[in-house]
Formats: sequence, structure tokens, C-alpha cells
Amino acid sequence: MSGGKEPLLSARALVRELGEQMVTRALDDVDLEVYPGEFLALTGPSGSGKSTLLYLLSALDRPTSGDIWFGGSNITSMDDDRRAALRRERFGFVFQFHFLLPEFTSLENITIPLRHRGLPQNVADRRAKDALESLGIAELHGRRPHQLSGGQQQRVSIARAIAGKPNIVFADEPTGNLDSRSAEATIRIFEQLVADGMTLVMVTHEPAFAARARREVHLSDGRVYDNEATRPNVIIMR
Amino acid sequence: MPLFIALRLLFDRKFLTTVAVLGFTLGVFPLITISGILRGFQSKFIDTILRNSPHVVLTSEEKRETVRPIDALRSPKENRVHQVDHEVPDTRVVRLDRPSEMVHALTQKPGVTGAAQSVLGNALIVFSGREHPIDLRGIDPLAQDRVTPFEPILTEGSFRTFVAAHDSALIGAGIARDLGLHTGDTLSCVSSRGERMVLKVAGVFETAVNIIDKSRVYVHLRTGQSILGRGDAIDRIEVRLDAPDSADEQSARIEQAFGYKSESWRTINANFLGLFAQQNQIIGFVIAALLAVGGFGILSIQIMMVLQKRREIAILRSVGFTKRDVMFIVLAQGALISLAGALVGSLLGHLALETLAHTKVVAGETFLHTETWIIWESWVQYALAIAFASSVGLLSSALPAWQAARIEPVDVLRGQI
Repeated sequence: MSGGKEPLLSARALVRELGEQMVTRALDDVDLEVYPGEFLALTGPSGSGKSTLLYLLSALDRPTSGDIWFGGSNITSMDDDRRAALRRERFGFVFQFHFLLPEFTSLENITIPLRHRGLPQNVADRRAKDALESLGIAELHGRRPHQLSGGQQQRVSIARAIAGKPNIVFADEPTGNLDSRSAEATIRIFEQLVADGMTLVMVTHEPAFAARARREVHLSDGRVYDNEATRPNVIIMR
Repeated sequence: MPLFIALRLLFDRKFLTTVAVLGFTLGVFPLITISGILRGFQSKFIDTILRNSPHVVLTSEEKRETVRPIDALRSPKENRVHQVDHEVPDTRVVRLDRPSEMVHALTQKPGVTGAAQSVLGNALIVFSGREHPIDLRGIDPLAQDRVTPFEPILTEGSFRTFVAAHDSALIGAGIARDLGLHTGDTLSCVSSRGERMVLKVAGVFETAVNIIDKSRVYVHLRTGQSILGRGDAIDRIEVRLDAPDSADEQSARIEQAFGYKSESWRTINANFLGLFAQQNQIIGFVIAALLAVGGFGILSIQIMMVLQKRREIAILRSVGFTKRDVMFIVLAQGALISLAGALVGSLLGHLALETLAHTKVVAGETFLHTETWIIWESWVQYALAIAFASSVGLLSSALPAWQAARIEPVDVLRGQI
């Protein structure tokens, strides 16, 4: 699979326990590698740990034990500020419920992270407009989230994720709250972005959308399994 | 960028923001207005005192400890007196010894701009069959003019006329009004000992301190001594300083140098100054309470905002905002609300003071005579009010800011909060 490439992101022996009095092991000894330019789907039933794995990989959460390496750095040992900088400059996020700031326009929702990175206003605006245009919603730049349909909100959310030209985009159930047409459109956008060289890690419980990924990692009870057999730590490759 | 977000969130919640801003406006408005009125009165009072009263007064009370021979023999150490019959109380009259030399010495002291000897006592003036009790001051006119200048307070007559004639008098405006006296009128002055002298009104003065204007009459030193039956005695020496703030230190030095009791204008007016200090403290407590109410307003609104905006905070954190950035946003909102409230309150306070400055005082006779409200305005007053209100706003936002910074995006994403 790697084709001799170095992994962009790699996780070793990840364990994540949740709860304080009633401790649940949400992830149990997970190894995973994400290669540049690949479209990776994390699948599994509810509670299997796929979203937990995505949050750990994207530096939104810390593992109970294990390491995650990105670009030669162990992100699990980074302090909060460095992890925030990583999310700001290297990662992009698309969430199930769009997660747009309701007080801001589509354009502002995209430019806020860019401006926070230190990009000048005109550069941030240009990048945001380019992202909106590439997703076919340039005319919606002045609208606030409540003035957009679910599908349009998700496109704005994708535009926000890609406008910063991240190394990797993490998508958590991006089609989970969309009608079938919008969901299909979203997946097509992802396919196009990956074709253009973007790396995408997507959590989904939709087998049809997972099948469109180049690689699928199936989780169950916090462990990684093959889709067909049930061998631990085996990944389906296409 | 966090500041932009803070501003936008405030504008987006116009109603709550307006309520919070009003909370601070209602604290700063009375702060500016009441402090302007109080400081105005206090400044006017002190200004009047410094202009019309001596900065240091040296009186004939001896500070040197003198022990009578009988008391020395009676002391436990000597213990030589067992019984005294018909002891006569100490009725010795203490008087300033060689006052002219003391005046001369005082005027040579650095920081002293004038010194004048005087005698004072109670008397009556009689004019057109009407009597008026007075506080009679016998003064050396030219020396006294260097201590308490007369020209600025004369409303009629002339100081030169007063200086020229030994039987002339300067009359307080309140007395002149009560008796219908004018420059050139002749009146009789009678002391408690029955001494009577005819005086001619050389001028009328108005200090704006009603108690002075309604009771004080200045005459020449010799005339005063004659009316009061004091011979050549001097009751006190009044001193003017070029730096009134140094009056306490100068007074202590003068007392030590001459051995007579010396009081600064601060000591003489300690009752009033103490009252002012108490007034300021009470008003300070009231204003602090008002601003605390504003602070609690911000606190509750900010806590509500943080609870409502957990999702938005999680979004910001997930796209790379740090905990510090989130804290800054909440703190900036508190500071902006209190700053806006303080600015509006300051503007309203300024307008209120401007209006009062042109409004006639309708109260009856007050301590200071004034046509309109006496107000005090300074940029320092506004700067302090704005700084204080902003600090309260910042402090009130500290807890919500801390709460906001503790929100982990992953907890929101998992739906745990």
C-alpha cells in the first residue's frame, strides 16, 4: 500500500480509556498508518471507537497510552499550544453537524482560522473565495449558516477545511446529517480533492461511502478488524 | 482575530450586550456626577479657606511646659508640701512675647510669604438702632493684606481708604446686607466690656463663606485693642505660605522655634476635612456597590454565554484556537462591555455636570455662598472611572473565561457537555 512512501501519520499501540469511575476502553492497542494522498475510511458500528480514533489522530484528544507521529514529531507529547498550532496549520476538519459559527458569514467562517494563522485579510479572503468556488458555492459567501441548507453548510465546512491547504483532512461522519443527494455530492467532492492530492481520513458508518475510499479500516469494540475475516489489525486495501 | 470574534459575538447579542453595558453606565454615571459635585464643593471650600484664611496661625498658648514653684514642691520627688489652704488658680494671662520681632523673623523664613499680628474678640455693632454681634479683628492692614489679600474680596469701597484711616472698618457682606450698611456709613462698635468706638465703613468684603461674611469686621490693630481692652496685647500671628500643602510641617517648625501653639489650616479645619473624607468614603462604597452590581451583571451574562456557546468554543478550539485565545475572547468581551458602559456613563455624567454648573442652587443659606452648583471636572476623574469600571468588567469575566478555556472540543463532539 505504501508504495515505498513514508507514512504522513502513524499511530502505535493506541489505547484510550473513557470515564473516571466506570472506565471503558474505547480503543485497545490500535496501530495505524496514514499515507500522503490516500483516502482512508474508518468504519464500524456505533461505539466501535472510530470517532475516538479520529479525535486522537487529529490532536483533538490525547490517548491513555501509545504514540501518534506526524511529520517526525510525537504529537501525544506536545503541549496544548503546539497541538492547537498543528490543528491550525496542518489539519483540516469536517464534522457531522457542520460546526460552523452561526454569528459569522460563510466567508468569515473560512477566513477566521486563516487569519488566526497570520495570513493577511486579502490573502485569507482570496483563499476562502477560491475554496467556495471550487465547491460551487461562491455566491453563498455572504450568507450565515442558518441561511444555508444542510448540504450547503457541509460544503462551507469542507471549504473551511481545505482553504488552509492542510496536510491532512479529518472528516467525522460528514454525510451523517445529509440527505442522500447532498451526501453523494459531499463524497464526490472528497474524491475530487483526494484526486487532487489531498490526504483524507473519514469516519463513516455508511458501507457504500466507505467502499469509495482507497482503504478501509474497520473497528469493532475498540480494535481494528478486517471487514471480511475478523483478523485483528488487518486492513482492507483496494 | 480573537478581538474581532469578541466584538462580533457582542454585536450579535445586542439585547444582552445593551443590558450589560447599561449596568456599567448606571455605575459610572453617578460616580462621575456625585464625585464631580462633592469634589467641586470640597475644592471650592479648600480654595476659599486658602484664599481667605491664614495657612498657619500662631496663638498665645504656650507650648513650653512651665511648672509653678508650688507644684514643684508638691511633686512626689520633693514631697515637701502636705497641705495648701486657699490655693489661687493660675489666672496668669499668657500673651505673645515680642510679637513684632516674631513677625519679622517669620517673614524671613523660607516658604513664608507674609505674617501679620492681630487681636480678636466678640463685639456688637450698632447702626440705625439695630445691633449685630460680630467677630472683631484688629489687624495691621498692610501686613494682613499679604496674608489674606483684601482686593479680591472687596465688593465695594477701597482697601486704600481702610489703610488710611484708623477709625475705618471693613465689614462682611452678610452684616452689610442685614444692617443695610454701605461704604461711608458710620456705626458704633461696642465691646463686651462696654468700650464704644465710632467707626466708618471703608469697604464691604465677601469671602463666599457665609459664616465669615455674616460676622467678621476688620479694624486697625490699635483700634481693635482699644475696643477689646487688650492694651498692646497680641492674640495671634497669622502666616501665609507659598506652598499651603507644606502647612503641617511649617506649623510644627514654627511651634518648635517660638514655643507657642501653632496650627495649620488643616488642623484648624480638621472637622470639615474629616467630614469630607467620610463623605468620600461613603460615596466610594456606594459607587463600588453600584459597579459590583454591574460586575455581577457581566458575570451572569458571560456565564450564560459560555454555557450557550460551548459548541462555538469547541469549533474555535478544533480549528486551532488555544485555551488562551478563548480566555482572551471572553475577557475582551467583559472589558469591551464595561468600557462601553463607562464611556456612556462618563458622557452622561459630563452632561449632568455641565447642566448643574449652569443651574441655580435652590437650597437655603449654605456654608459656601454660591449662585450655581459648584462642580469639578478633570480628565483624571474620567480616566479613573473608566479604568475602575474596566477592571471590574475584566474581573467579572475571569471566572467565565476560565470556564470557557476548560471546554475541550472533544467533549462537545462526543456530546458529553
